[in-house]
Amino acid sequence: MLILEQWINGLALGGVYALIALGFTLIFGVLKLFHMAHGDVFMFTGYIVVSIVVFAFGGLPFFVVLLIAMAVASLLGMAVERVAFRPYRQSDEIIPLISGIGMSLILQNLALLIWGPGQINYSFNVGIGNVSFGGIQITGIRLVILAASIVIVLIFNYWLYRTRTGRAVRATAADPQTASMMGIRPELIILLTFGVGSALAGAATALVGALYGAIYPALGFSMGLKAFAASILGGLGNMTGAVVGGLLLGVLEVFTASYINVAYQDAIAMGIMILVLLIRPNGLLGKAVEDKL
Amino acid sequence: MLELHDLTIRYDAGDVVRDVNMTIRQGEIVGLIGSNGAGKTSIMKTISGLVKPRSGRILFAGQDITGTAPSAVPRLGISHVPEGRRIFGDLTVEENLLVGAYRHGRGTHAAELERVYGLFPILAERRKQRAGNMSGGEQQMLAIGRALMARPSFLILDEPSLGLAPLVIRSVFQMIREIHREGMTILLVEQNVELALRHVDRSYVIQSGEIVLEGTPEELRAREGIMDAYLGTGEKH
Repeated sequence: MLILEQWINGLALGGVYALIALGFTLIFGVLKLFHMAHGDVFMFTGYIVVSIVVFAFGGLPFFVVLLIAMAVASLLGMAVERVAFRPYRQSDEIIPLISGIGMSLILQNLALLIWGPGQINYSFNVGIGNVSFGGIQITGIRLVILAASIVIVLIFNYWLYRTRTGRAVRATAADPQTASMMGIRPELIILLTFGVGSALAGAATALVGALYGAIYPALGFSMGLKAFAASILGGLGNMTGAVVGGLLLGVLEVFTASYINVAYQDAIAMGIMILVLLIRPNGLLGKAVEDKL
Repeated sequence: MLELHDLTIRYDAGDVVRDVNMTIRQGEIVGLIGSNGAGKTSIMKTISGLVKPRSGRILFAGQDITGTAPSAVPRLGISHVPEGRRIFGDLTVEENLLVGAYRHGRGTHAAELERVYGLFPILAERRKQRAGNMSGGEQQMLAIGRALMARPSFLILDEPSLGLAPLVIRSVFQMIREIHREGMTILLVEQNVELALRHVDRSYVIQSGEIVLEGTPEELRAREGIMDAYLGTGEKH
């Protein structure tokens, strides 16, 4: 029955990757831009949430922590958009990419400056103890992560595919100029995209925080890399692909850690990603990448 | 209803449109014909706010709308069916139409949908289908339907015949006539001179960025020699 536990652990971790990858994919879809500082928004949000929530007002319900993290990340993401990307809208596409890398470094160094280089440990109380049935033991945290990821992905999906604003986002992603001729303001949609995409990363911040209870300045880089890998694995620009890629990556890591060696988990996950891309260059669910890229 | 006064448009390479004057009165269907690269699409894009003119003014319903942001133009009552249709291929047919009604805010837009589906029954049949999978003619109808969803008082049609088979062109133009009969003021941009002259009340002829002729189809046909010189249509008849 250990294998069932591993599946749940893997899917919980994968759910977190999926949330980050979804935001990354959404932003890529609208701006055709790799948001290189997406993982750092995740990291910086973590520091702010830990500082405010854990140390200033300890003992908030986890649901509230989750909402605060989403709000903080959303504001941070929109600020990043304004500072790092908006000024370069008309520039060659390499410029915002580099500007994003610059923003990533700035956020990492700001975190170093404010909170220091060491790892900060904390814990969020998710309010659910361990659950055991039929000989399996699952930590309450993982169930909360899994449930929260599913609910957030479903809400996001509803927003993107069933609401007027979601339609405007997809129309803008497809053709910003024509979308503007329908009365849609592309700049507003871009800002909103960063707000929503970063809120998803903020949710992941709270969930990962509940899982690991540790944060350090380089955490964003590795998370950003995994979200990037998950998006590519699933098929760049494809929302379902981002979720599938994230879940797959999480499961792969957990299985590698428990059956092979935890030290190899990144190597094997990335190795499998490379293999998938050799067979399907556009990812599992991807179609041909636009030449705009 | 729409007036262009001394409109000059310049891109990096130089003037593409020089001192263009045009007037379209309410209820008219007016053509703008000219060969490829004459500046037709640049004029349309300027009306839609996508291109800022170098000089000149655009008046709509007596109001100066020069330099209005593209996203504000639909609110004035101007809808633009762009060259090459530019439908949102990954969205369904109905979603495309609903995006067309974006300027009206939230709601189901049932009345507008019903009207467009009434005009183009094929779109009702395909409502749940991915728009990019439809034929060129169906996509053109969708592009027109999407523009109508905004309930415009003025419709710009940029090369609606482009890339369509003759039979399909006929049905698209039947729909355009139908929409015009219902009271829509239309500015029709066409490369296909014969086709345009069959359907318009009046037409302007543009060549190398300047309006060189203006008149009813009869007047323009009567000056066939000049038309041929400007448009190079002589060989075909």
